[in-house]
Amino acid sequence: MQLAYFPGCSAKGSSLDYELSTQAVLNALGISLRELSDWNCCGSTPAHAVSNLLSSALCARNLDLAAKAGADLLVTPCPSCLSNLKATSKRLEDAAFRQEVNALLDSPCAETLPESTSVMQAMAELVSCEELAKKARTSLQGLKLVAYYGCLMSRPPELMRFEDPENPMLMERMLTALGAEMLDFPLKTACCGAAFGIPKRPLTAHNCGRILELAANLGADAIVTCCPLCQMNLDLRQAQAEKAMGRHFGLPVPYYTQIIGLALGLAPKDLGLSKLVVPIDALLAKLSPKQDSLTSEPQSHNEVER
Amino acid sequence: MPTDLSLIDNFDTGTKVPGGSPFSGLWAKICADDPMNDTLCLNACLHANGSDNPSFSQKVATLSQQAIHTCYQCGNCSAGCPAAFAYDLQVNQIMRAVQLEQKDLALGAKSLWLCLGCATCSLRCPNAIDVARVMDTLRHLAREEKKISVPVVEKFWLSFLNCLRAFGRSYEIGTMVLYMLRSLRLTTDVDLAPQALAKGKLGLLPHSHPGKDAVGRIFTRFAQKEAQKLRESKEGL
Repeated sequence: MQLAYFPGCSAKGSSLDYELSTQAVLNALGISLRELSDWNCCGSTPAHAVSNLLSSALCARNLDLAAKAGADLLVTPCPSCLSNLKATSKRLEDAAFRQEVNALLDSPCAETLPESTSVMQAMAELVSCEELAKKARTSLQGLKLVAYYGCLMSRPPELMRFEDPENPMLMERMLTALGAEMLDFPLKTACCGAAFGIPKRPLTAHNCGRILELAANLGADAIVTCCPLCQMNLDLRQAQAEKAMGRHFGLPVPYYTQIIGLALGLAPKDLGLSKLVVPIDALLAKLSPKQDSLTSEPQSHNEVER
Repeated sequence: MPTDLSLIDNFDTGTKVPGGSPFSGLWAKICADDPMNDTLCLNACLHANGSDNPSFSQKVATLSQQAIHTCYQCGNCSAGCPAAFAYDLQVNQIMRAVQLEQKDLALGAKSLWLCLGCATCSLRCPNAIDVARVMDTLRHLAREEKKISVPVVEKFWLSFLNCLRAFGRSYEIGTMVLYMLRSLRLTTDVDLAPQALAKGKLGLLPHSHPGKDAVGRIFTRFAQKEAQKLRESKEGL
């Protein structure tokens, strides 16, 4: 199976650390993903808020590029990109709609287009939790974490096909295998307020405030995320949420790839940890080398590259 | 309870209702199997009788591809909505407004523009209505009618799309500057800028890539198509 990588716009800007840590972890796990050449923005929420046709034309161009590059599967770290790519594949099943989309493109898109999936799901397919645990060099034991998935990883379920839509557990399974204590988190699929931080700040501040407050009340050391927009709202906008709730949180909001990277013994700078707005130092201080890894050979990244 | 039962029967089998929707067959099946038959028939009857603008709910049903008339007001959509606290009309009320052909009420709701698109409503609808898709459809119709109840939200989206048209990929600073000028909110998020810049999370320049012109052409063709649609609808009137 040929995979192509679709980073999405955030990867080149506001979520550089997600991109760095995703690449570092995939590299350490021996998964090679080639970035789709000349990709464009999926249109995000604004495109489909204006028109499904516009949104799908933008995504169809990417799916077509992937098909022409010989890919069977387009893999993206961003749930919003994934949602738009998947919705487009679904809409293109309708011949009349496909014709309308083709009319907006320079040339009609390929008859057979690749499917799309998330980096998280691709990673879980290729590397089991047991294998992940075997590759770990640092134990996450002593860390209390909550996994926060946001809206689009699992909704709508018939499109996203990801776990139980009300209670996904994939991040919990991966991070538990690495030694972390994962706390039950009822707001794991709640909405952070999306891009409304700009036009309607109180909406985002209120929603993020609830999520941060519950995580803090549960005694979590960090909220582990998988979506660039959720991460930005909970981290960069945390002070706004604190103001809305009248309470200080100081909760770090790392990406799951940053936490897995730490467990794999990768260097903080390779995981972009310094880019987190709320510092993660207290969490790092709790980490200790994994007992059984002290005697085993040091890990070489090249050795595991397939 | 409805009085004209023949009308309801015909509605459910999709035979005689003017402008019958492609989902009539599905309704017939649902009505035949469902213990909530009476409620569904009531909705169907309301749909067929009580309207001064009879095509609206069918238009929404067709565009969203959702069986809107199966909504029986359980309120799950509103209960789970993370933006409900900011709404003027709750999601279930919007669904009811559509069923009752209250076009102005539905398309004028501020809620349409405050909906976060999280799809919790769709997930929890016991009748499997993709309510988020209905909300998306209502936004499209509201834009067509130039009813934008919360203009700043649309201004933000358009600023994002303007940058996308020019650069092919999102350009955060460009989006923010356009939005500030459009909305005259010149201090939007300036409190965040120092931190975002210091952390290298805000690219000063757009990412250039060869495909940006192809993206620009997608937008140009889309704009032409929209303009044509507008002309046709004006001629139709």
